[in-house]
Amino acid sequence: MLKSTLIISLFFCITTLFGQRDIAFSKANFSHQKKELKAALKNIEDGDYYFSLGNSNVEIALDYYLRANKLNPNNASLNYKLGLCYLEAKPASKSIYYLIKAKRLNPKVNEDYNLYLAKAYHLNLEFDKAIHYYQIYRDNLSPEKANKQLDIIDHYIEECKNGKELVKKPVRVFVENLGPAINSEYPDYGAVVNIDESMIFFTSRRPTTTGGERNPLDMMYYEDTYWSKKKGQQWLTAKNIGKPINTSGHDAVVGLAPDGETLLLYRDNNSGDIYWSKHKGDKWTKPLAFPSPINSNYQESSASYSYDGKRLFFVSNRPGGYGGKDIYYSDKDGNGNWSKAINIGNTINTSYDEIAVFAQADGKTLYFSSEGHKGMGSFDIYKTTFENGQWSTPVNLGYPINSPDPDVFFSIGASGRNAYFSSNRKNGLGDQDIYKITFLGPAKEPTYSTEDILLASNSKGFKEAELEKPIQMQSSQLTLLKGIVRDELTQKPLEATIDLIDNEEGEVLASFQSNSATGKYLISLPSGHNYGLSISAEGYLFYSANFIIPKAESYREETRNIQLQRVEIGKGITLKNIFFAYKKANLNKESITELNRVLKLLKKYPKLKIEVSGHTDNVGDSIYNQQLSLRRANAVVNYFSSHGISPSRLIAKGYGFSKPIADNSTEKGRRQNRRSEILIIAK
Amino acid sequence: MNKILLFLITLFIGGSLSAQNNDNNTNNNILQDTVKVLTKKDKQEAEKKYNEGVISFQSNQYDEAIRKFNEALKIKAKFPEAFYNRASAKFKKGDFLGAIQDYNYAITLKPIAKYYLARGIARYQYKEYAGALSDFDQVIKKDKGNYAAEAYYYKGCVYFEKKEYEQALQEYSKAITIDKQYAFAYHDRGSTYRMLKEYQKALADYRKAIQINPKMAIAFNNMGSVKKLLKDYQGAIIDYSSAINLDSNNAIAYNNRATVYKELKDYDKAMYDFSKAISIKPSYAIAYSNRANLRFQNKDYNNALKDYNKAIELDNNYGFAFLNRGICKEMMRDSKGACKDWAKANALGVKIAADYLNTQCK
Repeated sequence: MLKSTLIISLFFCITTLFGQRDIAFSKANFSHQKKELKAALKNIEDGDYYFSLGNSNVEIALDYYLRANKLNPNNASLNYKLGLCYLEAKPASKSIYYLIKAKRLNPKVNEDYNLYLAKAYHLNLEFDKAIHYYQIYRDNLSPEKANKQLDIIDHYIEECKNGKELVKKPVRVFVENLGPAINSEYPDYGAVVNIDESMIFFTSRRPTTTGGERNPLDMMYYEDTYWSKKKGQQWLTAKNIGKPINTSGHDAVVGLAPDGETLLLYRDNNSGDIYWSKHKGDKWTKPLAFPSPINSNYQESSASYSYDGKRLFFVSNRPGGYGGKDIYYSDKDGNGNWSKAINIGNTINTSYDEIAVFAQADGKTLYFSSEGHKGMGSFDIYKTTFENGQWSTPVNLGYPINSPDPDVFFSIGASGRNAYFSSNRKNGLGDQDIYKITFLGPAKEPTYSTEDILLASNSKGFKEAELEKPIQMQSSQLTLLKGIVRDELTQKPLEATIDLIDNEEGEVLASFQSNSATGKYLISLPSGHNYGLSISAEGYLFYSANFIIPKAESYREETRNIQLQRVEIGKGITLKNIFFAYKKANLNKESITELNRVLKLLKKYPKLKIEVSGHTDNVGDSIYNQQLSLRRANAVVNYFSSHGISPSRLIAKGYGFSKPIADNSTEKGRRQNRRSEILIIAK
Repeated sequence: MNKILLFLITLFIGGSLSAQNNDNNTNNNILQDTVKVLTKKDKQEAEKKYNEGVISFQSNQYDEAIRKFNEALKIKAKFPEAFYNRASAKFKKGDFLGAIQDYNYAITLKPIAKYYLARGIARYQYKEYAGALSDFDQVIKKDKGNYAAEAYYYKGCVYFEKKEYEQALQEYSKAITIDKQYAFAYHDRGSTYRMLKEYQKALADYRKAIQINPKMAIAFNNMGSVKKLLKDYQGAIIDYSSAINLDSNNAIAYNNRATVYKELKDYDKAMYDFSKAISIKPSYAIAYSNRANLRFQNKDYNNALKDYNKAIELDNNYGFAFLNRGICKEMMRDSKGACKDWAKANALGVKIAADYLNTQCK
């Protein structure tokens, strides 16, 4: 039992994969489903009828065929028909599916199989496959068919080759369906907009057509003109423009004058003529047919005014053209009469149809649709410009504006930013729809930014600041001055007064005594200053010393034992803290403290007479030095006399460098030699 | 006098000093001596504050440092070191004008090469180029050593900023003549050659800088950028990678390497590097805009827009971010937004934005 089930299952699998048979809609095959079979056969019959009407009717046909297909999905002929329907109804991928299935069910399903499969691939942008099947079809044509079809098949192959190139380089546009406010499931096409794109007029074959009648030729509603206006960025639901524009017959809009006040219309009278209607107030005038030579006994199907309204471009299939429908123009003279219609020439017109002409308001650009030129399938939209007295070679507007499907009725707004056209491409609302093109212009590449810090000093900001260092605190940076004060003769320790003077500031920093018993003193001197030291004791001449302790001086000790001299004739002192400007006899202010000390001595001993002597080093001329030393001695004397000391007690002497006390060959020695002295000469 | 503090300290002094008086003080081995120790408190205070300021500076606490130097200068007005250091602290804070003023005081008190150099650099940063050059010339007059080398180097920088590249080359070369190991001078001379489009010379100088200082990430980065200009993309990637190896937080090198990966169409690596640059430096507007571009080109418009928005939020004057966002908005069918962004980009000096405005926004 298990074994037989397995065999049966396997059989079904194999059948599914390889053994699908072409199952006829026959009583033998559906003996238990007679009713269903009958309905399916009726569906196929109805489908065939609608299919024969073509255009939008194919979608109705498809519906019937699909119903039949539900009962029997493995009928080669029905699959083939479904494949053909999807060529029209889209998507083309479904057409490919059903056609291939049909062929699998019956390899001889139809002699045109390769042609339609090629078309399906063509529509599905699978150009290489399309070319392949077109070539198979072409190469197997019977001589009779070849005679008729060879050119058109080669034309399709050419279209596929063009398509490959166009799809490779898509143009930068947005193509968007105008949506349900404008489009419907019925054919909607031929849109024209006014100058600011706030109003749109278009043709539709929807059920609200005036009179509600269908054209018996194709069973579709008669064309009517519809219109809409924009509210913000949205189109309001389109309305039938009504009478007198629309009638129960075909009333299609084909153009709008640049001023937006004249509509160009198509009516199927007289094989099809162009009409015009003026906008008066909020009404449109009754459409009037253009006279001959614009209209003829042949079909004139679309028209467009030049920017100045003086020329009308139109399409006609009248004899004498380059084949099929051609583009013509006629000029209006000052009296309003239209000139002879002139074929625009074979730069634009081909042996195929040229339709849907549109003249841009720039006065030189013409758009039209053509099945000729370098298209990618059916009608493509082209552009040509009139320059230097001739029309340029038409340029395909490119993919995705154009497609293998018919792309027609191009019109462009005054801004040039947006355009409109009609196509029955996939993903529409049904049949032909109106699409809006937004031109994006040349590709806009976003800009990548890089950054380099080109100067190394900027990479770390400022170079690491070379800070000024911390200053060592005085506690560790001082000079300890110590020593013993004694009487010069007896060497007995003396209790002396020690004054420490900041020579720079002229301040007495401190005043204190040496030890009375030992004569010892100990003073700390912070570094970085010029100190004066004066040591005095009762009955003795004071002792004067000067210390410059550099800032960077680290701790050190200096011992200086002081010998004080009694105030007696013949004794003298060197005034270490008297300073002059370089080469001058002007006393510096740092000298005041020392001078006052001598002044105090002179006042204490009123009988004291002193010699003030100036001494120099040996640099320079001796006479100059002698005079300088004398002038300096006089400066000191003058200071004393100006502070109440009788000049009779004072003698100034300039010794130049005649009495050196140190070696003039060193700077230290020279500094010691540059000095002022006092000598007691009377008491 | 009132500022003078006199300490009377009783010291016990032993040794030879006391020994001299042993005869009179046989009972005492140690003689008590009266000793005076003197310090001037005012000067100590200024220096103390100054030293505290130095410590704050060294801990990168520049506000605190400035406060301390202020206190030091309040106590002691003629304190060039305090002015100098306060200037340096102000410089660190980006207050170049304040720094220049303080350097002025320091130089008045102490016109030395070091101070001129510092003021020159501050003036350079403040874009007061004439003053900077005059300071550097003073340094060169006063010093023939390292300060002079630095002064030449900074003269080079000034001329570079002034786009006087030939002059900059001369100055950098003089710096190198004094200091043969001056990596910065080689590096910057390399950048100068780059501006003069002498790319091989630029590469040679960057290499020399790296030879002197193999850890000079910036030189690797810039060498990579020159190679990118020469379309030596693989070489550029190697150099940017070296810069990243030396400094794993090198957002610039990540961003730059990403743009090379993008040229090589290695979009995953480019995306990684842009994101890495952003994670290192969340304020990196350029990297956001670049990542947005990559997303845009992958048609990931929503995320691209988020990145563009972030770039603009970080830098409202980033013209290219507006340009790019406009391009993105156009593809998102927001033509009004696109035009608004292009208008802004145009106002910020992005020339191509004017074309877009003309063709797409009228």
